[in-house]
Amino acid sequence: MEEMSWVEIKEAIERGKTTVLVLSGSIEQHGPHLPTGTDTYLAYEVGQRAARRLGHVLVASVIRPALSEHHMGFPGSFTLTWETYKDVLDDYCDSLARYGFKDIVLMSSHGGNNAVLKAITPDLAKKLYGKVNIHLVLHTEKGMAQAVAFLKEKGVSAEKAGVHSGYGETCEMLVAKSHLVKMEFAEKGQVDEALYRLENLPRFQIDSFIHGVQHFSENGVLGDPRGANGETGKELIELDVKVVCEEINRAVGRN
Amino acid sequence: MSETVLMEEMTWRQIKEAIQQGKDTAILVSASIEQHGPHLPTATDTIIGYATAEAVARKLGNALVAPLIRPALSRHHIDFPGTIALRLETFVKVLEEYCFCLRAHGFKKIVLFVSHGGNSDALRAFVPSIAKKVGPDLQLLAVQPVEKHIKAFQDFLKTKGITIQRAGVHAAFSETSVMLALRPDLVAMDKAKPGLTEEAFYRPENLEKSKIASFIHGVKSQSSIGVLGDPTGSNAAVGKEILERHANDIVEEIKNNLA
Repeated sequence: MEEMSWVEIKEAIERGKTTVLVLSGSIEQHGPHLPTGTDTYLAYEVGQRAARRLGHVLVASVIRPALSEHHMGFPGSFTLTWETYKDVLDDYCDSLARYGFKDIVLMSSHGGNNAVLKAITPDLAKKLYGKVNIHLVLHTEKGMAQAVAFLKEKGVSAEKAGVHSGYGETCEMLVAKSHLVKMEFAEKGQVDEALYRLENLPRFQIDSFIHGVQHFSENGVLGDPRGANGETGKELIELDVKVVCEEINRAVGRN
Repeated sequence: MSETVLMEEMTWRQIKEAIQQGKDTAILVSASIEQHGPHLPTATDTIIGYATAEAVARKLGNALVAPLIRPALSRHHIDFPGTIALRLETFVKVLEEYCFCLRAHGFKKIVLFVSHGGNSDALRAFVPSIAKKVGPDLQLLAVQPVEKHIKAFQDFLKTKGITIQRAGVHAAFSETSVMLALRPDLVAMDKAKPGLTEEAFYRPENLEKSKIASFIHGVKSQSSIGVLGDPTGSNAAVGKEILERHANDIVEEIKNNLA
């Protein structure tokens, strides 16, 4: 939407693009090899691909910064308090509800936003009930499980794939913004296998919020980005786009 | 290509090293996501804001650019699809939280300016209280209120034979020319049409009144297409010069005010 004029947006909505995707990204450290805008760039990349494929979707300006308190130990990270993040979302929805969209779909490309997003969505939905439907699509969990399974087949372990600036995310960035990826600085980060088991991830997340990510990884990497490549990135993005498309359609009732 | 000055394109180590090497100033621009007529994208102020901030940071030599704030205060454009507006309270909180983050990373100075006139009064009103909250470790400086910028491009465009009602204040000759210099791929000149071209509206002494009218009645009541001024005949070379002059004005003001 940010590249369109208001007339183009109006006509697109009238022609049936009645779903608007509001993605939350982040501005936060992504290791010594990826830019702090990584989550934001990936949100635009996946959001635009999904919107093109679905045909009924426009993409709003990605919300960033968002919730990155656990990365504040690293220069260049920005965070909002959750109250302010909620206010920003509230203002986005209030603005977008005026233009004839039927559905607003909230999503996040940064795991740290998910819990709060889930907690505040009912409030936002109630406030605009009758004007516009507000949906939450939390694709990250499903998407991540799928990516881990996919990479495992290629011989990449879950701890190498990682959850932050690891193999997986770095592959995707080599597709989305390769000129901002510095593979020569890609270093191994936290690769303790136990931390990445699905059943342990919630605990891992709470601990990183309490102690800061620097407590688990001095370089800010959770995983191991070495050997990341664009070919795998394309496949990972495609997997992600597929899940996103399915989940959006399910949310807005267009199966 | 010279090294990026945009923090969002840098890694945390690059940012850390840059700060240690004396890049102790952060540039924080408040922009918008709002309608800009039938010929310009809603991110116009954001695109111009980044370009201005980058130019200022390079000229200063000791500055990095923070991710620009957008959306912001665009309530007066809310009748046009695609506009996203923050409430004043939300905007001020976002601004304040940015400043706390920048302090945490060791910046010593933050220079604030707007690429969207609607944010200008809020900076003037709230930067002092934010400065008080962040304390003595961080110096905040708000430069180039919007009136100053409008006056500067009105005077400059007059020398090129462009009237103040054509130069305009929103999506008109001045802004469209700058966009032609930056992102011609996003400018649809075939759709550019004159909007409100009543000369009195743009006289410097009337701008305050005009602005209040925009906020009360909405820009749509002043121009049904969302253009305040006249974008026809816009010109990339002139746009480049407007941008360059604006960046120079900002740098000069910073140098005069920051030790």
